[in-house]
Amino acid sequence: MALIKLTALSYDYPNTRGLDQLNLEINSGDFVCLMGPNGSGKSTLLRILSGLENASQGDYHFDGQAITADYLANPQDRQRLHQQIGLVFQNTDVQLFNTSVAEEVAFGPRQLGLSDAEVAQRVTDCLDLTHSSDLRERVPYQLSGGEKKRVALASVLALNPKVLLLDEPLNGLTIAAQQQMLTLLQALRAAGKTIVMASHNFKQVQAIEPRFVIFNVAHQIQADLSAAELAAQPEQQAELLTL
Amino acid sequence: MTLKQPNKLPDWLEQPNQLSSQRQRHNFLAHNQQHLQQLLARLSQPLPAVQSKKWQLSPAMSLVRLGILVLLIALTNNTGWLWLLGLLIAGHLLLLSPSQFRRFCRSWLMSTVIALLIVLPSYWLVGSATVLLFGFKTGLILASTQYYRLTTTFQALLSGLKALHCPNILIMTLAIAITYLRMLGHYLLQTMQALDMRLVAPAKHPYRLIGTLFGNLFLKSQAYALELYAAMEARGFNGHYVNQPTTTNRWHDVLTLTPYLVLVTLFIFGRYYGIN
Repeated sequence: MALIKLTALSYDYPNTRGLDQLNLEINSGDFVCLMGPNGSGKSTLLRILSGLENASQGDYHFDGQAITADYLANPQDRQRLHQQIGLVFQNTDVQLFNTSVAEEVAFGPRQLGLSDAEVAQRVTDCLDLTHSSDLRERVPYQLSGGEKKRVALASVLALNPKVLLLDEPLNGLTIAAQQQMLTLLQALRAAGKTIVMASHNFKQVQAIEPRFVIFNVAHQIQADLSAAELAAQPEQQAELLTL
Repeated sequence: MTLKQPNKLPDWLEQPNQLSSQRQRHNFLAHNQQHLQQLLARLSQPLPAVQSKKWQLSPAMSLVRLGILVLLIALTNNTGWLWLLGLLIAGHLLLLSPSQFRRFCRSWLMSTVIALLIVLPSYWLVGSATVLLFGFKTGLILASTQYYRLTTTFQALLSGLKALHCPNILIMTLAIAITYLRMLGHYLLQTMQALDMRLVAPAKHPYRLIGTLFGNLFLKSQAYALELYAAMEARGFNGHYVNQPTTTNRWHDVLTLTPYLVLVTLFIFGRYYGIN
């Protein structure tokens, strides 16, 4: 059974369509890269998958459970969903609100009711994994854009979610930091995590051979291809390089 | 790009989490947070103001029309006049699309009820006739302002103020205040959503969390104010708003305003002839 299943899912903004009749199945352990032009609906889809928005039409099932407005209105159900899905926002500025980086990463595990030793362990591990140990005592508000991205990922990883949703995680990072981030994502994939990532950096993402879900300007899924299938389509590749 | 060998992940990250489900201890906080989030979400996606092209007035004339209507409604106590003005407003409402009309009805009803219950409670002590008269007047004033709000964009409002020779400092203050409030609302909404995503159990220290949230909002607002000022200066803003060229023709404006001018004339001189 697919972990995430979307059936004829649409989303409407006032006077504009955000997503149009999406049908998509994502299995546990998949690494999906959402690609497409600006405004094609990648971020909107991530917000729906994370339960921050409700679809206007169609169905969304997560692990067999229908995610509806009623389901999300119940705080316990919503929290249960958020324990399993972590989202790194495109604008990580909004995601960091604690007084130090260590506090920021510890925030999630503390809510889970873990012991102080476990929380401390998770903080150290996540900061190491994201190469942010040197930022430990810094104030998140004063970090640079790239540093905020790394800390935001660490704070989501600390919750150990089953699914990681990443909205443009490579933006604002140096080439070296992009490589570190992709290496980490590859390790997470090997550990069985499901990763859904929106990105414009086709060249960089290509290296980890994800499944490509490509959106068009009409907010529909234009193609759903494995890395091997995409490799056999040079026109499609050329199109992705121009994004 | 070639990637190095994947990092060694800690054991806890390779094992699935035990899902915990704890009862919400601070229900009122969770509910209030949800309500605030819904309100901010609604405000962050306002429906665009639409006006029928055929009856489009220049921004300045729209403001003048609103001013005349509000003044006439506020000044008259004659029920006949109020009916007449009510009919005029109803005529405008007929030009709205069905979806806009529904939005108008919702916001008008809500604002009128709030005004009668909270803003004008003293009228309830005077008597039913006064309540009816002032309730009707309040309803009409709110109807004309809601109609204006539904059919006028923020840029058109600024443009109208400029055309009516409103001081630049006032226009600038208004422009910055609205942009600023919208940005802060959006920031607060996104922060609350991010918090919601990581608040995977009832908050241990909810009040501390609220303090942190608004502390961040304050820091962000300060930083944004400085950035906004620098960006405006960098783009050569000198405190003067350029008047946008109007797309409607003046004769059309004058013709559309004629009924209102007739009403104003009747209102002023009608007293001598016993009309008012």
